[in-house]
Amino acid sequence: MSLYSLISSFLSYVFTAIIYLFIFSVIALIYMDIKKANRGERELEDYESEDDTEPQEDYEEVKTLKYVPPSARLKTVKSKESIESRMKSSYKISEKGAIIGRGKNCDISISDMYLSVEHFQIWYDDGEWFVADMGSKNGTFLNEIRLKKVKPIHDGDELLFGGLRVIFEVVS
Amino acid sequence: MIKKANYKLPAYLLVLMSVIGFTLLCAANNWQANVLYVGIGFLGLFVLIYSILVLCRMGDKFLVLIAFMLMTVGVLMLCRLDIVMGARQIVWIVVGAIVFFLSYSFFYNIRFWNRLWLLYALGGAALFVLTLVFGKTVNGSRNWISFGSLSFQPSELIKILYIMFLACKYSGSFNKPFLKVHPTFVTGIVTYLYILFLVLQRDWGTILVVFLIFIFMIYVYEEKSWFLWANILAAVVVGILGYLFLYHIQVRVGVWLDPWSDVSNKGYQIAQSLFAIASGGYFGRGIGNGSPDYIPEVHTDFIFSAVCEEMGVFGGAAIIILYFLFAYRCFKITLNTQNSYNKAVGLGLSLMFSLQTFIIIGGVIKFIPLTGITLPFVSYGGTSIAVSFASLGIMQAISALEERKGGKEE
Repeated sequence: MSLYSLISSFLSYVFTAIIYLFIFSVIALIYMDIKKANRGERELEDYESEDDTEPQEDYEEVKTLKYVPPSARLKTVKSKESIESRMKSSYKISEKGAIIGRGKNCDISISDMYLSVEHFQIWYDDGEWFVADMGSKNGTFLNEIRLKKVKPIHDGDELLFGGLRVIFEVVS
Repeated sequence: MIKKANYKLPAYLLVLMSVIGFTLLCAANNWQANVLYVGIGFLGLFVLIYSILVLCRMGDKFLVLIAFMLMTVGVLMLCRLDIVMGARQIVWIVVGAIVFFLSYSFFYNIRFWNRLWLLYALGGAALFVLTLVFGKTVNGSRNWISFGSLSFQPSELIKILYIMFLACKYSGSFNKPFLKVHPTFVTGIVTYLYILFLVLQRDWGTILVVFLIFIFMIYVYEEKSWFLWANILAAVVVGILGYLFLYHIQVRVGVWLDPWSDVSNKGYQIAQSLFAIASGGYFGRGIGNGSPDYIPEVHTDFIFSAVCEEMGVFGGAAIIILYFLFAYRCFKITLNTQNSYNKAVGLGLSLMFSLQTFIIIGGVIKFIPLTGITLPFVSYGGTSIAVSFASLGIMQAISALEERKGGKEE
């Protein structure tokens, strides 16, 4: 065995080590990237929630003096999923009702990949609020029971859709 | 707190790997200086592209790193096989880098790609016709066009055009009937037309890639499940008919099932490939110690066997892991994209990279029947490198578009 082939076969171990070190460091960087992205979104979320809850409540207090059209809101239950899809801390629903989904044309558009384009809708009719699934792929759950047909919804009910959880609250 | 990330470490490791590798090769070639020039050229190119990418914030940083690691292994192997080939590969990588920046800036700046479906379909068909008329037969496949001393393989380019065409359909931009034919059927017709052309060219590897991309795209996007099943059924029927009536396919499948009965003739290539992989052992015999020259086509399709022989099973597995990481990053970019056309293109390109890798590595280790196709970024070949770089540029543009848009919203 010549000197060259001795060195070369020794270096093949070095090459293997370098490649695996490379793979390891790339994986470590990707992991940190994901972690950092999540942390960044969480900070953003905290900032946003402080920003829009307080003025909203002030606004409603002023409104109670005049005629109050029925309205409700969906309050987000904070979770990893809700932070990842950048949900606001609450969404207002007017008396005209709202369609909730991933599509840009929805009244409440949430960009979560487990939502259907038009996932479910909530509307007001004659003193009562109703909720119905709009043929979504992953379903909508009212108090842990999957919605099959139109159901009335009351203050404090919990809705679960595509891993996201919200509490329905009637504003009065 | 998270430990501070060292973003430079992978780049340093890559440089270290090339320095050791090229010095070794230089020693193997009686200290000829031109090996070092190739190495210096390669490293210079890497530093240039990577720093432009990081400084101009052109999207994802990992894709280029991984691609360059694969290319390092490829260029080292090619220089070891034939120094002239290695030098030419560097020229191709320079061309590829230019194509990379061109395709990046085109894709980044032009926003009406989703309306040009007819152009993609016709462009692909025109390239096929050109190949059939002016084509040159190499190794039984009539898939080369040459201008003087320069020759290129149109089927590589057609894959990108085809992906962009499919993306038009599945992002919803192409949704009106064309000549009273529903878009779903238009895509079907175009796919089978392309496959027919490819059968005429005897380019089985590309058929497999194109058809599998089609099937996966339908699986992901198509709402009518019967269309998926109809296509799978058609594939099975065509496959069986092909096996019964086409001699080429019979040979491929026969060799896959039993290469040893005709080892000196038809099974020679795959048997040599298996011998090479086996002789490498865990850590390989060292660069320059093996004898990969016994394998026909070792510089293009069978480069993975040569890597396995001289860098060992661990080296080969590392290559596969690198492709996994590459595919993971591509799919991740695709998932994060909001623009539906970019999403579809991203999916198609991710599928192209991963399927191509699977088909050729599976082929040379006798896991599936062998079909000739290049290993992206590693194999020798101008068109292959240029087209891989073009796809990488598009992927990079998609991730940059998403990153910058996100920045604006915040």
